[in-house]
Formats: sequence, structure tokens, C-alpha cells
Amino acid sequence: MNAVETFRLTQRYGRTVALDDCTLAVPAGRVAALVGPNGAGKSTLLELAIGLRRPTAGRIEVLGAQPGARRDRVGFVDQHAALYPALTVAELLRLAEHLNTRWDAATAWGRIEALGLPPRRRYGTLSGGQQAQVALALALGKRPELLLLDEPLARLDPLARHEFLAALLTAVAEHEISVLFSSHNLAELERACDYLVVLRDGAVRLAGDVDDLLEHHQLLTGPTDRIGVVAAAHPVVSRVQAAAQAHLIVRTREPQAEAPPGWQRRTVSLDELVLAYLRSDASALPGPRQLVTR
Amino acid sequence: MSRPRILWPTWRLHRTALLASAVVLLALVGILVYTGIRIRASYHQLGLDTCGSACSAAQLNAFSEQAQRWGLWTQFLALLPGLLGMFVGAPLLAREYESGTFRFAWTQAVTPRRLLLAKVALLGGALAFSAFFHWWYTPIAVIKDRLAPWPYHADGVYLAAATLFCFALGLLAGAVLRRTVVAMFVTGAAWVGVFFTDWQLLRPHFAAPVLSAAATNGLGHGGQPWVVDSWQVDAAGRRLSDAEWNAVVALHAQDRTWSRADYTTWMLYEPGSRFWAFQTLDAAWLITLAAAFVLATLWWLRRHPT
Repeated sequence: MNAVETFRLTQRYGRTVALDDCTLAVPAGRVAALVGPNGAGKSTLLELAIGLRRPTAGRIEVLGAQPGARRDRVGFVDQHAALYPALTVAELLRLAEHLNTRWDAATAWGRIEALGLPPRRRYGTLSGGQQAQVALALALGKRPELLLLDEPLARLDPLARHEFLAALLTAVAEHEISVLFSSHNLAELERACDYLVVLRDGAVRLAGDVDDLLEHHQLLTGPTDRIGVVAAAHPVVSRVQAAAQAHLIVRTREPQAEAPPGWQRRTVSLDELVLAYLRSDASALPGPRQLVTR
Repeated sequence: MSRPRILWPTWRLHRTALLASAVVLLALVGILVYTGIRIRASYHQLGLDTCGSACSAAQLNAFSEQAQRWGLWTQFLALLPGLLGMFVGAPLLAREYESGTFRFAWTQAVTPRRLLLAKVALLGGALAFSAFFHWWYTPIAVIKDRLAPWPYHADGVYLAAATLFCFALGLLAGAVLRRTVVAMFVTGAAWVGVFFTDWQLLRPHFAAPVLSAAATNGLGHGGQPWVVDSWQVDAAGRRLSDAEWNAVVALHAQDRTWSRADYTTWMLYEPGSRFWAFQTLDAAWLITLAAAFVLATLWWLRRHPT
């Protein structure tokens, strides 16, 4: 089963197109990162998945059902972790307990205690990192099968970011939760996710298993006048060329494919890969769809 | 597995508004008790409980003075539904949107619809107030009919229906406008408009007013009714305009022996027996509109959840 599945999903706000004919599948049991620049449609996709929006066109399924139908088993934390500032941490937990059907007090309280957060502190007086942690604890308390997190790291300092990711990954491992989180921060991706979706201008540019993607891409360095040889063998995602030497990021059909003669190859890092797809017009989708280079 | 429970969340999230409303209502009840006792005291003291239909004009005038002294403030109860709509109804959704907390509230297992309807249902607590006012007004009904614009708006079911109306109006305004202050202003202004439209233009047409001639003020029986219109007719049977009548009065201002017997006061009035029929009609359209506002709010939230 897929955690999130969209088919020709389109969302327009007036004349702005936030998501344009977006077809995508995020498998269950993965920690998937949704990456793209600001305005790429990340928040829109997450809000569609939780049922906060209705699509202009197309279809979206979450845990195999309409988005609103699964609200009891989908945890959602929005960008600002906006919760009632006058309520104490303990009151927020009680609130979530009352509003949900599968509440797991032990997990939620375990998170609060592990963080050493005073239960009587008002939410509004907590730091940004602590607020994000409380919001995550509330989402985990729902015993979710899927967690949707909108820019969970954006408001956090590096230490808090580290702690948040550690907490998230521990919870995911313990409870077998699927995660889809958006981010425009590339630095933490490699450690956090095992599935990647790159969005730009409301369209999916790249989607797939992280290891798989890394194995099928490489950075080739060689003479500029022989780019044509490489381009004939592999789709080129991005190229940086000088008079003599060119650097190409290519997608290979075989994992760890040999470099063409006269070229040197090097594996790419995840952030190099993401940047390459954000800069070029190439898109690479998993499954039956062919790689397309325009 | 458990069912979501919305009572505690509703209480906790709206504690301030609920407590403030309760304090205001209790304070008003307290003032009603005190003034009610004073009015009843003068009712007995002036002997109105024993004179029945034989009460003298002097007795009635004296009591009227007392009733006005202790009771005139209740005119302002007409503002109560508007204030509740402004301070409880309008911020309810607008604040969720302003602070972004709707993203939490709308994504829990309990549906937004249930969350919202629980809040509307809580209003039931405020409805007992009108019944209390009905008791308070009982002695004054001897001199002024319940159907008169004051105390009509605070009596019977009107206040409760109007409160529901304003609350639902505030909800809708908050959902659509998403700014607390703007939604409050719109709700308050709309209530003032609706209140006066109802009083001046709508209610007089619920049933055709009764035409009656009275030689002097009053109709010869207790309880001054709700006079929709009145005018003077001279001895020749000609209807005088207001200006003409004022001129006649001015002409005789110095003449202590002038009797108005040459002139007859005609009036169109709504008899007090129509009180409950009018109340039912008013409550019916107010509650129907309130229900429409709640449905419109739910519809709007589905169409524009963020």
C-alpha cells in the first residue's frame, strides 16, 4: 500500500498554480522527504493529504482512502506548530486525547518527559524547538500510521534540529510509521530520509528510493568536446562546462555503471542530486514512467 | 479505541468567553432580582394588587414612575444578543484562523463539524435568562403591555432566538472574514440593523394592527399597548397632520380651560393578546436564519478549509 498516492493532482489559487498535474506515490513504511524551493507546492500537497484543502482537479489518496476519512490515523504538524499559546503542555495533551480516538498517552507523555518539558508551562512560553517537539508528541500520541510534517526543521536551531530528527526516527522505528515531511533544508536529508520527492513549480521532478537514486546517478568529468558521447549513452541531468573540461550529472540505466572511456566518475551526494534536478528541466520518476529529458 | 469527547475541549478553549458570559448573565440576573423586588414592593405599596380594573390614574402614574426608575435600563438588554455574538460568536473561528490553530483543530479524529456544533449547542445555557425576565416584568404589564417594543425584546423566546442568531452570524462572519475585529464589527452592526428593521418594518406587519378611537390617552383598560401609529381627528371628522395638531396644541398652550373633547385620538395598535404569536414568528425566522448561518459556515469550511 502507498502512504500517499496522487493522480493528476492539481491545485490552483486563483491564477496561481500550486500543483500542476502531479502524479506521485510515496510507499508506506518510508521516511520520505518532500524537497523543493519556496512556492514549489510542498505545503499545498501536505494540506491536500490531510484534508485541509480540496484539490481543484485530480485525486489524492492517503492510506488508501480519501484524505478526510483517515484523520484519526494521520498525524499532522504544520509549519508554525501553531497551538493554543495559553494552554499548558499538559492541557494540550489532554486536548489531543479528547479529540482523538486512538490516543496513546504513554507515548505522548514519554516524549514530553524525555525532553524534560515542564507539563505546567504554557505553550506560548516555550522555545521554537520545544514547541515543535510538543507538536510532534501530540501527533505521535494519535498512534498514527502516517505522519505529515510541514517544514518541521525550519524553526529549529542546529541542536534542536538534531534532537527533533532523532526523536522522529526513534518513533518511526518503534511504531512503524510512514513519514512524509517537507523541507527546503538539504543538509539533514541524507540522515533523515530514505525516500525522496523533489518538487519544483508544482510538478514532481524526481521521486524514488534514496539508495536507488544515488546508485543510478553519477558525476562524470571529462573533455568538453566529447559530451555528445556521454549524452548518447545516459540522460544528462545537469552540466557544468568550461572550455576544456565538463562536469555532468547523469542518470545511468544500470546501477554503478562504468564511465565512458576518457571520463572519470564519482558518486553524487544527495544534495548535489537535488540541486541538479532543481536547476535543470529533467525529471525522473520511478516505476513504469520513462525518464524524460527535455 | 474511544470516542472523542468534545465537552472538555470546548470548555477549555473558550473558558474566558464562557466565564465572562456567565458573569455578565449572573450580574444581570442579580440586578433583575433587586429591581424586581423594588418594583413589586411599590406595586403592593400603591395597592395595584387589590384595585384591579378600578385603579385610579394617579395610582397608575405613580407606579409607572417607579417602574421606569427601576426598569428602564432593561431596554439595553436588546444589545445583549449582539454583544454575545460579537464577543463569543465572532472570535470563535476568526481566532483559529488568525493564529493558525485551525490546522491542528481541523485535523484531529473528531470532525470540524462536530467540534463546531458542540459549541453552538452550549448556548442553551443562556436561554433561561428570558424566562427569568418574564417573571420580572409581570407587575409592569399592568401599565405597559408585553408586546410593546420594550420589553418585547427581552421577554419570551425573542432574546434566546436573537442570541442564537447573533452567535451564528458571528461564526459565519469569523469563518468568512477570518479577522476577529472585523468579524466582531460586522456582527454588532448587523444586529443593530436587524433589530431596528424587525421592530420598525417587519413586526408591525405580522398581523394587521387594530384601529381604535380613544377620547383621551389609553384605551380604557390596563396595559398601554404597542401603538404602531396615532393621529388626531377634529370635530368635523378631518384627520390632522402632526404639524396641524402641534399648532392646535400651541394655540391652547396658555388656556387652562381648553378641553380636548373636540378632538379624537385615533390609534393603530397591536393588542397584547398577540404577544406569543409575534414571539413565535420572530423566533422562527431568527432561528431559521441562525440555522442557515451555521450550515453556511460548515459549507464554507468545507469549501475553504485553509
